[in-house]
Amino acid sequence: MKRFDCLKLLAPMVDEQMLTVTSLSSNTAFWSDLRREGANFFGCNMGLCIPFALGLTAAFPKRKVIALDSDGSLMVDSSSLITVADVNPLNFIVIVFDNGSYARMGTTFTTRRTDLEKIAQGAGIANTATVRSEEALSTAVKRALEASGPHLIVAKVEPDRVRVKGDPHRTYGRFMRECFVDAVRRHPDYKGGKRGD
Amino acid sequence: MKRYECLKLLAPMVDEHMFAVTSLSTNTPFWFNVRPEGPNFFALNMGLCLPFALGLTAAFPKRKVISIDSDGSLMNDSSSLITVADVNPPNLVAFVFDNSSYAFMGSTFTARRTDLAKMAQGAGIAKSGTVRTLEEFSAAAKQAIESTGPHFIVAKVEPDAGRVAADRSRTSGRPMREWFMDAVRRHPDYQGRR
Repeated sequence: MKRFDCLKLLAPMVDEQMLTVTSLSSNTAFWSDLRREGANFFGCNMGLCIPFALGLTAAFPKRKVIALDSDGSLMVDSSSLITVADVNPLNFIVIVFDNGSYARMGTTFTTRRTDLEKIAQGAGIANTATVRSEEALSTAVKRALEASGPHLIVAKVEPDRVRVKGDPHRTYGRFMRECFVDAVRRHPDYKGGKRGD
Repeated sequence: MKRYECLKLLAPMVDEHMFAVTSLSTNTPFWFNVRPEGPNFFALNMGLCLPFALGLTAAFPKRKVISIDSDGSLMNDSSSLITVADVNPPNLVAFVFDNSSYAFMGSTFTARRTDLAKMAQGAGIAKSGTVRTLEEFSAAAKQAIESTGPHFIVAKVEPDAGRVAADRSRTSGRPMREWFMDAVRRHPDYQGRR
């Protein structure tokens, strides 16, 4: 299963009011090509994708928040799964793309003994799945979008062969953050900044 | 089950050449009371007990290293379980005393949905379990110390009723570290600095 094909399947299921967050991986470049509008925060540093998205679930409780994380990133701070289980946000969907490798720097623990889905269950997230085909992913995402969460889906994908460069302006740095904040301000559920901005 | 009773049972199983590492919790004064001598490193900060013990397993591969951690500390860096599973040290015995509370600051996640033994299994530590009685604790500890690891044992204990005093000059700061270094230097397996 290829990551880009998974994300292509996912994109039409995500409506314009949902919020998405991607980890620093090819998730960012791929997702920025597929979902050009809407509230997207791209390229969260290692370990920060799920925590950032968890904050959004509290800010936008009526909308689904989708974290597109990756195995290396999640394993930097697997304790964030404990926090997710404890906060128990009904509108949260985590999809972890597990390619078993750290970019081009060798394999991760998931190629050996580690089972991320089982860690998430141990942390206390009841709705979990591991998927290995596009059909299974599609079914799992549909279920997650319809039912209340939190959901965690581990998608086993092949390592990407080629490097994909997204538009660096839209996926990185201040401009990306400003696009995100703009999308948040235009969001129908946005209540205004607490300090009046 | 009480933490002190567990540690009293554990102490006689730990021989003078085994290493012990405790987290910053009542594990520290209790363990000091039951095992004042030998290579002990006390009161590692939140999240650092298991990683420190893992380093010792590599330095002293012929000796058991006993990590005496607590739930709040382990959950600060539960990814250390993944590293333990991957390094797969046969001489590591990791205990987690789970009282489901952060000292006097309320309950931890294990009081609600989180199951640490299951997380450890997910991380890839096959020999992982939870004990709730002194008999179970004693049997699990004995089996773990006598067999090949890594072992991960979650001991469900009551929150401690009172504070326990220990000799602070032996359980914290530079004097504690010097005691530990002395014990390491006198250890029969110590090969000197590289």
